[in-house]
Amino acid sequence: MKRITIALAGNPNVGKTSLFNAITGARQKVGNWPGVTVEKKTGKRVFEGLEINVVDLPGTYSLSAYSIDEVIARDFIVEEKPDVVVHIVDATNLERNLYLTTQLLELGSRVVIALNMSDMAEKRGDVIDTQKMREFFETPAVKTVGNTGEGVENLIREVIKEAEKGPHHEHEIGYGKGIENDITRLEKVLEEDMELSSRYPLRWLAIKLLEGDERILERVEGSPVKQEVGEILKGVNTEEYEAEIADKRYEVVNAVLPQVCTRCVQRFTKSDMIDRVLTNKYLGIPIFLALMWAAFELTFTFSTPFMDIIDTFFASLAEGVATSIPGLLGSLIGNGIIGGVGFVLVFIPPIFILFLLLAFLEDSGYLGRAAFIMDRIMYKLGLHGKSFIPMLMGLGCNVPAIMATRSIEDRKDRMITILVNPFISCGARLPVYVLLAGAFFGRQAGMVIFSMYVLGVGVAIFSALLLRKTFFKGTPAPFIMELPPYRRPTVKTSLLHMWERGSMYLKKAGTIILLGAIIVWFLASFPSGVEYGSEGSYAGMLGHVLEPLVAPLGFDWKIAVALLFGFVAKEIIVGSMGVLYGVGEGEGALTDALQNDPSLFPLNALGLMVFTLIYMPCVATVGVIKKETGSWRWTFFAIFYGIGLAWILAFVIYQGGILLGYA
Amino acid sequence: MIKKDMDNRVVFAAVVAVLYLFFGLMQIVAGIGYESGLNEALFVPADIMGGFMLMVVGFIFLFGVKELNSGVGEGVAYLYVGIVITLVLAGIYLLIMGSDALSAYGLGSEDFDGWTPLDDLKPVIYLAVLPFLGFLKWRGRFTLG
Repeated sequence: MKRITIALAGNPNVGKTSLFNAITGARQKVGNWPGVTVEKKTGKRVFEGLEINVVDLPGTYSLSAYSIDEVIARDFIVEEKPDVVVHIVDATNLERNLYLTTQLLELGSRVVIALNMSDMAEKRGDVIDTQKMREFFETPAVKTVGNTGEGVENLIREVIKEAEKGPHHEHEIGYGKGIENDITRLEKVLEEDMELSSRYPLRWLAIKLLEGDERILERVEGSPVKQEVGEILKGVNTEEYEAEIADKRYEVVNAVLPQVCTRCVQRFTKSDMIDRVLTNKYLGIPIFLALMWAAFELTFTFSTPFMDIIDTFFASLAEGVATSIPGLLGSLIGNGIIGGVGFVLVFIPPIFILFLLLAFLEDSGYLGRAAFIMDRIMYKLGLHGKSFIPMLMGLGCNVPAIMATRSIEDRKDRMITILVNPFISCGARLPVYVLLAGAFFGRQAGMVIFSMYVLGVGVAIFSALLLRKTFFKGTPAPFIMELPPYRRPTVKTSLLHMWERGSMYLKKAGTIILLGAIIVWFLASFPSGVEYGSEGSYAGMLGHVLEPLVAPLGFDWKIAVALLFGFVAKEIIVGSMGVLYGVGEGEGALTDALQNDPSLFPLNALGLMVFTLIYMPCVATVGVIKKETGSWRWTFFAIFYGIGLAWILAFVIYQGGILLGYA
Repeated sequence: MIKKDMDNRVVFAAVVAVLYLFFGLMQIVAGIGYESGLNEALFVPADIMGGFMLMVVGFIFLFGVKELNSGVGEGVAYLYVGIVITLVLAGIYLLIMGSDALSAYGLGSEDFDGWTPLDDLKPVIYLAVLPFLGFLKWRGRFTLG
């Protein structure tokens, strides 16, 4: 079968992932904020006997590689040389988007322009002439709507036609006499380097050198023509040239735009109207807090009856096991599997509801605004405004959140954001809060759980400030962010996003949590003949070794064992407690057991929630911190800093509370 | 005609602002521990965060009043967005009431012995009646596009 490779490129948040999903039938995560795609994703589509490999690239405003995601996108286009680059353009914002088109054409890539979100552009009265656009750019332009799939077949047909045409000629923009002279001189010199000239278009290479592109300058470092290039660049002010070159490209765009599009003028839109309120200098943060509070209220209160239903199911299952399967096997299934995994599954309703609400807020475009609203505070605290997006993503899972920091250009800003992200309370910690807050704080449970999330953000901000004043001195880079238009979230896509995040939780329950529960059950059941979960069991012995470390926090050996296993995945804390308390009759039974345990009361339960929030990241997060920082030193820092801070805070809560007479 | 309609919006926003600010403050004060007989009569719970939420809504409408009075036409945004937020919040608390009803009547949960819908009736729900009327009057303005 004949094969072609196409790359989807475009500015951030123009619907690349939606279009990728529409072309390949995949279900990659789509978000209404920039930076969802942080590394290239691949998919396939067989269309009329032709196999099309589709590569979804991270969003990039230009082909000058400033951040990691821009480097990934550019390197793929330049070095892998896909047959066709589909440049996905936000039809409602042609001026900014066509800037990248000029660069792709300069590169000599065979380009097809996908005018995405054209429905929105037409709705507001814009008329885009695709035929004229084709004539001006000498490349096809097709109208598409990524989230409905409209125009996708047309797009594929144009892509195939383009792929059959073979290599494209470079589309030249005149940059004025001075720059053009330098381009010509550099081209002549670079021609001598066979390796460079066979890999890159010479004119493009020369322009990048004049713009002071660091990655290209590095390439030239090892070249035999290094000295001659250096001589030419000596007399060049690269910053000035970069600005001049950008101006010329915009001149081209602005000359073409009125001829291909009528109206296309920004007016005071509905999105502007909403932003006037939601991003108001004084109201923005209070509105954000009020909406988040309402979301948490709904999550915890609305999920209660559904948790009760699941709880009742596991209680009857455990009862059946207890009466029908005697001995060790009965104990393994009842105490180990149902007690461990069953408890974790009881928390599916709040987790799924929270993810659904976050999906609604995200798809509407509101969460993107949160970064903008928080920028002023973040900047004062030494954090980059862009850091708030990974923080919000961390509410789902810290692993993709840390990967999302790739869109942060400045290394120091990025390192700080990575290191503080584990303090943002992910979904896996929710079962611990729901269990303990439900058991010890009654009607105030919602407030206590919400305060854990606020504390997580507070600790992250405090830690960022600390890191900025010590290891990563300096001021954060300025934050420029394009606010995406508000969109009405559809139930289907929001449910899909909820499922994408929530199914991870289900998968973990069936794999790593099940394994953890069985290990804890084994430790609680042996050596042979010992009373289940007693101090004489292996779990008891292990717990007693660890107990002195956590005794000042008011935790006993059972909590110590649960926290130890929580390193693998935070949900295991609840599962381990279920196993160690030997209550296979459902979450209600564990709540009763916790309430009847004389060593647990509201003060140390609160301390335990705080400890769970802050102590070391789970094993998957540790892995991604290592990958993204590329340093074991910072990975160990993240682990031990978290443990130390968690210990101090839990100690202050417990001992301070006792001093104040709360115990 | 246009002037009269604008005046109506200012009055509407002012009334909604005062109501939400008043009930929000009452809820916060009750949350701190100062409750009066009025709290029970008006179904105002002792809930600091809930009170904060109502006050935020009140301030949104107040900003609208301020801008519309100063002749800033775009100030109408506060009115429309405020209405949407009040309806979203009321919807959330109605869902919570529904789930409590399920616990009480459907599952017969012990925690909900003697529960009636009035136990979950809060200002955030009944105050939304006025914004809802506003929504019906200006419904053409509430589409995204």
